[in-house]
Amino acid sequence: MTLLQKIKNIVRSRSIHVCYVDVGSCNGCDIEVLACLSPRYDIEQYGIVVHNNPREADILLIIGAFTPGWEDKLRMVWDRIPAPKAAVAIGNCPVSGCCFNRPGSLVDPPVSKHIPVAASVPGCPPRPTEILSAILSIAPTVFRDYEVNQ
Amino acid sequence: MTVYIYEQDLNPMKFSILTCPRQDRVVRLLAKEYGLSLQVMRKVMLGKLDMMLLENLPARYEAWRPENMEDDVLLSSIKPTLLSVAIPIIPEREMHRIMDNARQAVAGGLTPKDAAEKARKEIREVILA
Amino acid sequence: MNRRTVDVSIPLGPVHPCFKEPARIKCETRGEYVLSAEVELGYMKKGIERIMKGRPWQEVMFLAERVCGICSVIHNMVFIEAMESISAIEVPDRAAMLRVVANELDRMQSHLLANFSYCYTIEHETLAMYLLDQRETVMDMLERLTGARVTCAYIVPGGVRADILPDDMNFITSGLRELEKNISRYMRMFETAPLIGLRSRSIGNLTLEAASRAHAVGPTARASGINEDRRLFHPTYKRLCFQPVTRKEGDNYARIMVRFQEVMQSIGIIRQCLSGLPHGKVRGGGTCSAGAVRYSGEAPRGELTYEITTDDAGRVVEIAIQTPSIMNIEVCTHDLLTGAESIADVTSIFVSCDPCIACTER
Ligand code: SF4
Repeated sequence: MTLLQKIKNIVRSRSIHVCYVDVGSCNGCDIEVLACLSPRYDIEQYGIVVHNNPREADILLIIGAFTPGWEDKLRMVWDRIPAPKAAVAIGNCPVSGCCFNRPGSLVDPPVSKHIPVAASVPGCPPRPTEILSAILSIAPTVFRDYEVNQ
Repeated sequence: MTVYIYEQDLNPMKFSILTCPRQDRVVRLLAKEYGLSLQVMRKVMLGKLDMMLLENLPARYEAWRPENMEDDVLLSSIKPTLLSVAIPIIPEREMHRIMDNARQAVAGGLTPKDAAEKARKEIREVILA
Repeated sequence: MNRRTVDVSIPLGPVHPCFKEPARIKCETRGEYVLSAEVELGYMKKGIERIMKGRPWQEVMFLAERVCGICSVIHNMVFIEAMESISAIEVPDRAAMLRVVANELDRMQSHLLANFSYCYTIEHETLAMYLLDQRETVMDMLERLTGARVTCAYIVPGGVRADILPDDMNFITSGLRELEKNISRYMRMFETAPLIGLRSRSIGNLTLEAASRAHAVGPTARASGINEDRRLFHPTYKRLCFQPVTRKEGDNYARIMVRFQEVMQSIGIIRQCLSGLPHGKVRGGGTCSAGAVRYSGEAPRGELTYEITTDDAGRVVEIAIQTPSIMNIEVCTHDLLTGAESIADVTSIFVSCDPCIACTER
């Protein structure tokens, strides 16, 4: 491993920028992601910064059961994110559609149909600690030695 | 007209809002009130109202109160503020013009009922124009 | 279409740092002045009302909670109370009081979240984080009482799911004491800070007429001097001699202050409930039957209405939900954002109305 790669690994492990998009949820998971920001869970002590700006994000948190309005837009948001990147599905909604996935509804889950999802945190909604540990555990597997693995 | 970047066709979404139970009830009421067919009324609303107004249609309809209209046959049968202020599909200017015309017609000897009928016809024309 | 001079048309969103949820505001501006604004929806439309149709109440109860995750308790409460009023089910006194406790805890966390978003939007991150921290305390209490943080399905026909334990009661009372101290401090901070005042006072003025024309509800309307609160008509709140909080100013500042004051008021209501908690059962039982009703309750954001028709087996035949955010966002875009002095205020005005896109679109 080159020195450069080592430096990159160290830097990347302490600076994870997160963007979350809500593709049609009930809001329950949204506010649990927001709760991670609170001083109690203090997401920033792990070097995770929630910016909500796709262009500087490393990890995309996807919440919700994919509504028609996102048909082309989610792909756009995903393409804006510079590599290396990973998408994490938060809650049951992006995994299965939760209780919205019934005949007659407008949603179109799972989200992995539309963009590649690296990990998912089931729960309706999952606790903030679970979200936090999911981000922390997915980050090294995606970002370590990214250039070597390419 | 301004052209926005990444614009998508909003009409399917607007239509699904408009066919929600509460909205549907209001649209049917209005269509009957002004003698238009349901389809035409829906089309007009899709064209003239934005999404938020469509969502808020029933609440605005309920919040609209007939202001001292009982004693005035003309007002109570044309309901001018309903279509211009509460559910803005006719510009207020046009509505004033229609009301003035109707008042003049009454002053000119027409019965209030006939004048109201004429005003409604004008409203229909303005809506469809 | 009459022509207008438009300098720039600025779309904000759907993914925007200030919004919790996706909404797209399209603003047409001349210089700094906002000529017109339009909110574009359709990012959250799940069609809940459609899937609720034809399902038994046991399922609809959980769907109703998932109309909005922030104010899930009130959706649960209004739906269940509507079912109770259809089928004439009596609620034991103790359960009625516990419902109010759960509802007020929910209101507190929702208001704190709204004020957090506002402070975050005007870039006062310190106060925002203080408030978010206090919200966690409220969430703890809610969890102790109901068993879950969000979507807790605490209220069931004929009562509540579980009784409150003496331990939890002590936890809540001591938590409230702490909360009262802190919130009054943060409220004073918000009230007196000159820079917050600059960004909040006389910005986004909502007049009484505009508010009543668009049928604005909740703190948005109460900040403009409309004395309207569905809790005034609720039997349990009537027993508690509830009086709504109103202010006259109608600007961003007033809307946030109304929420702060309501948090303080909620603390009082919960104390009153817990100290006078009657003994007895918390679940009375009953059978859901056929009927139709229109039932309203006061959500944190305002009046929430359910129109339900059921059949003999307790299945929901027809349902229509009118959530408070619909009216508030509408009045916000057409009366506040249109004509806003500066494009920089658009986000803060929008957030001060506490928009909840998930309930708006259902
Ligand atoms: S998983 Fe549950 S809480 Fe999360 S958005 Fe979906 S319905 Fe809401």
